[in-house]
Parts: sequence; structure tokens; C-alpha cells
Amino acid sequence: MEMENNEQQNSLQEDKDLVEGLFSKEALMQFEVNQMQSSASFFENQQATILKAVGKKKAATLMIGQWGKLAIAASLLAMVATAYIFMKEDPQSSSTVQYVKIEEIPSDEIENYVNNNELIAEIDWASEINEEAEIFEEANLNNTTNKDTNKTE
Amino acid sequence: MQPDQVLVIEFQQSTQKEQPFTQLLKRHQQRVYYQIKRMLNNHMDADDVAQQVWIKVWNKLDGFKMESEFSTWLFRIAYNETLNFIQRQKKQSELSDDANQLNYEDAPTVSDHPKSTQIQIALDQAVKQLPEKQRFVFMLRYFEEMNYEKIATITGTTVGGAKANYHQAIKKMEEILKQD
Repeated sequence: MEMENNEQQNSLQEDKDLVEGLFSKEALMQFEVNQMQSSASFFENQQATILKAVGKKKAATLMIGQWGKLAIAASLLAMVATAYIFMKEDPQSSSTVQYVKIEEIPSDEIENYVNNNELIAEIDWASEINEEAEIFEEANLNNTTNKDTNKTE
Repeated sequence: MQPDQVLVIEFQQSTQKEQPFTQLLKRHQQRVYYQIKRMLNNHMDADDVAQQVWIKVWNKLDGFKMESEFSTWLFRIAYNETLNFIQRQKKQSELSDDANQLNYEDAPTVSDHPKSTQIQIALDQAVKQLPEKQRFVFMLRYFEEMNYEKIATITGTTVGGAKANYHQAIKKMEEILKQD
């Protein structure tokens, strides 16, 4: 350990000698003296300024902490309330299905329903018929073509 | 006197953080300020940067894992803050042609002193022309007498890199001296 320290000291002195050989020890000392021209009161004032600044930061952090907790609580409450309202109003979320007897439905309502859905039913039938007709036509056309080819041969 | 490590633990574990922080501040305040002033050569700027360093220490000390000495960590913050300040100043002076803006190059220096010797003027000029990292390493090694392991941690380089920076700084100053 001691040897290591000695080595480090020697190495430091060697490094210092390199600079002092270029300039002079006095010039380097003067350089340092010029940098160190600050009064004791400056450091006291700096200390006070730093402590005041960190004090403000600490107070701000505490304020944010309290407000932050309140904000989290408020947003959680809002989320729960929204979810509750949503669940309550959504008819699909209701698990019980209410059945109504057909006799209880007024005939006007049934008529209206049939009238409104008649067109959809007709459209569905028409498309089915069209599709079938197309298939039939295609099959017929193929048969005719085959017969013509045989005749030519 | 309590070692730094004890004060750091006290800071991290206590709600009364001001007391250990004030002790750390009192203990290291001057060294930090002087290192920054050597770099910036301007009292006001050095004061501003030093204050920023200590505010950062306050904010980050809870997360300090004590993988290095407190003073090493502290000087690393000072190094980063000083370099950031220099970069910002360079950008500002690039953007504006404000002739009154002070930076290292035009701040009053030792060479402006009437009693300055020729060699002091030369030293001052040579230091001014060093790249920031080399200047920081040179100051830490010569004036703070730090070992290369510590300098390497502060400047985020290897021990070899730190040694190279110091020797490059001396070589550069020698070249500048020859030019003059």
C-alpha cells in the first residue's frame, strides 16, 4: 500500500515537473493564486443561495406530492364512476333477457314490423333466384355447345 | 469529522436532508468552485455553474449508489455541467454577435495584470487554447493532484485515456509556447 502511494506520488511529481519545466513553478502558483481570489463571504453567500434554492425545490416537490396524490385519487374515482355509468346504461351488459308473449304485442306493432322487413325479405329472395337462374343458364349453355361440337364432327 | 459516505447515507435515509447536505456543501464547495473557475476563468459564470452543480447533487444524491467516492461523483457532475455551459456559450456566441459576451477567450486574465511576467502571460495563453477535456484533466492532475483512476472516472474515460489527455495537454502547451 505504501509502495503504491509512493509510486503515485512519484508519478504525480513527474507529471508536475513536465509542466514546471515548460513554464515555471512560480508562474503556475501565480495562476492558481489568481483563480483563488474569492472572499470567505462569497462562499457563505453561495451556500445561502444554494440552500435557499434546494429548499424551494423541496417545498415544490412536497406540493407536487400532495397534489399528485389528489390527482391520482380523483382520476381513479372518475374511472370507477364512468365504468359504473357505462355498465348501467349498456343494455347488452344485462344478463337477463325479458321474454314477451306474442299475444301481448299489439297487432299494429306486428304489422309495422312485417311491413318494414318485407322489402329486405324480398330482396333476399330475388338475389337467391337470380343466382339460381345464372347457374341454370350456364349449365344449359355448356350442354348446347357440346352438342354443336359433336354435330360438326 | 464524519466521512462523506456517512453523510451521504444520512441524506438518503433521513427526511432532514439539509443537515448532511450542508456539511457536504461546506466541505467541497471551494474545490468545486475553483475547478470550475479554472475552466471558465470568469467568477460570475463559475458561480452560476457551481450552484447548478449543487442543485443537481441535491436532486440526485438519493440515487447515488456509492460505487465511487462522493467527491469523484461530485466532480463528475461539475465536469458535465461545465462542459454543457461551455457548449451553450459557444452556440450562443455563434448565433449572436454580441461583442460584450464573456467567454474564456476574452475574459480578463492573469496576463491583463500589469505585474504579470512574460511566462505567466504565456501560461495563460496556452491554457486558454487547450481543448476543454484536456484543460479539465490538466487542472485536476496539476492543481487538484488527483490520481488518474479518479480523473478517468470523472471524465468518463480510461486511465490510459486520462494519462494521454494530460500528456497531450502538455504537448499542446509546448507547441503554443514555441509558436510565441
